[in-house]
Amino acid sequence: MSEDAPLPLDGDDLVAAEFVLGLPDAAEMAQLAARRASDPAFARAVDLWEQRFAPLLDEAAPVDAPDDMWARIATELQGRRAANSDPGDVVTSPGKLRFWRLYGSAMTAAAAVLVAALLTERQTIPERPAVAPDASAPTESELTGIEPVTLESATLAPEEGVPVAVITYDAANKRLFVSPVGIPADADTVPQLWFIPGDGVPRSLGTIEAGQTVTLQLAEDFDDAATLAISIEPEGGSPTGAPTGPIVGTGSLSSL
Amino acid sequence: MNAREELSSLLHDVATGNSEAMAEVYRRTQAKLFGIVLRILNEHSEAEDVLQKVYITVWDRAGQFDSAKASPITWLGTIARNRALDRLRQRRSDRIVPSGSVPAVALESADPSPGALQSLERKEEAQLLEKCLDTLDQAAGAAIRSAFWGGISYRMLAEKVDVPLSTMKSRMRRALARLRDCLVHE
Repeated sequence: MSEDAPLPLDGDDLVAAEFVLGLPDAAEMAQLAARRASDPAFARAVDLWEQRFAPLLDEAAPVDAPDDMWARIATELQGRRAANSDPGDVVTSPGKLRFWRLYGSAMTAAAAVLVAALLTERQTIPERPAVAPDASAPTESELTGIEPVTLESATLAPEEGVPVAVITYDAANKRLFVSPVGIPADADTVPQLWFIPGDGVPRSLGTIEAGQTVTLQLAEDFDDAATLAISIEPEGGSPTGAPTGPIVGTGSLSSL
Repeated sequence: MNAREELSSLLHDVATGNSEAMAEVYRRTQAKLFGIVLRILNEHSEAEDVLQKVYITVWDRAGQFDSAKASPITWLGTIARNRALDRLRQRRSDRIVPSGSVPAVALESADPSPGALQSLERKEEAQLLEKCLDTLDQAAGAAIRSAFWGGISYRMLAEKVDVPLSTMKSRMRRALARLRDCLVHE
């Protein structure tokens, strides 16, 4: 058989295998992805090849994600909720309060965090597994002695309008997680986060990125009763050290 | 319920917007999925960004998970692999490659450590895949692993071993057909 023999009749199934492996070029991959969405027979073939190659996934050794990963994910998901909800509803309806919590696995006992990211309130959640523990889950006794970490959360919004960002604060580790939800990306401007304590003078907490959850590591504790605000600044951040552009949203961790 | 059924059940709960179930899915799978993403990207901060997107995708698409069609860990692992490969391809396209030069891609070893494929959940499938990959010639087996983990395209494979693109495609299609025959008939 010559090396350039015609395709076998079942070429479609092999195209599915090539697609799963990612062998075609970018343009063809995009076409095949579209075909998968519209052609049930092709989609079945793709599913089957994904199953066939799935054991290769076990070649990757497990690696624990960083301690703050769950907080970043929970912050972004809270942001999506805020963006998709009626803002008045989010703030006032107790039924809308959601608890995001995580119990450390046995492998990451030091990282065991109990996350309670609330939209409007600060609260410590009693230590209780979300689902019944199984053999691989930490038991109550394994969790004993681990201090739960409470995340405070705030939705930043203009006086009237949809939220522009969700912020959670991990006071124990002095980390702020900022998830902008309604700020359009713009090459020439950058959103900048401020806190405004009792003296009314805004202090910068740094610039953030539209469309991406960022973690800000704070050098020192900040007054978490302060008002938080986001302004739109020129590229690189405010040149004066004070907000120069429009304030697109404000909020507070402790009292919304 | 065994671990697989529990994870399936948790994903169904995630599909209804249950955030506690989401936290539990994360707790049970983060090391597995981060391992997959890290293996493909081999760079921590980029892998962290992608892992975050993986779980956002899981949240968005949990309703599409069908426990009759796929095991939950395969479904999750496939999302992680695809997201990481997307990032890898984007990284390559952002980089300016001088024309005519071959991208510096390492071909996967054709001989992974024995038993590396095995996990309790998929032991039999893993053994079968390993056995069938072993029936292929060494270059084809290596190319399949390179594509799976490295996002290595036909064009890159052809440049690497300096054969025409059409020749590489024919070789690989024959190898994939043989692999399928082995998997189906054994």
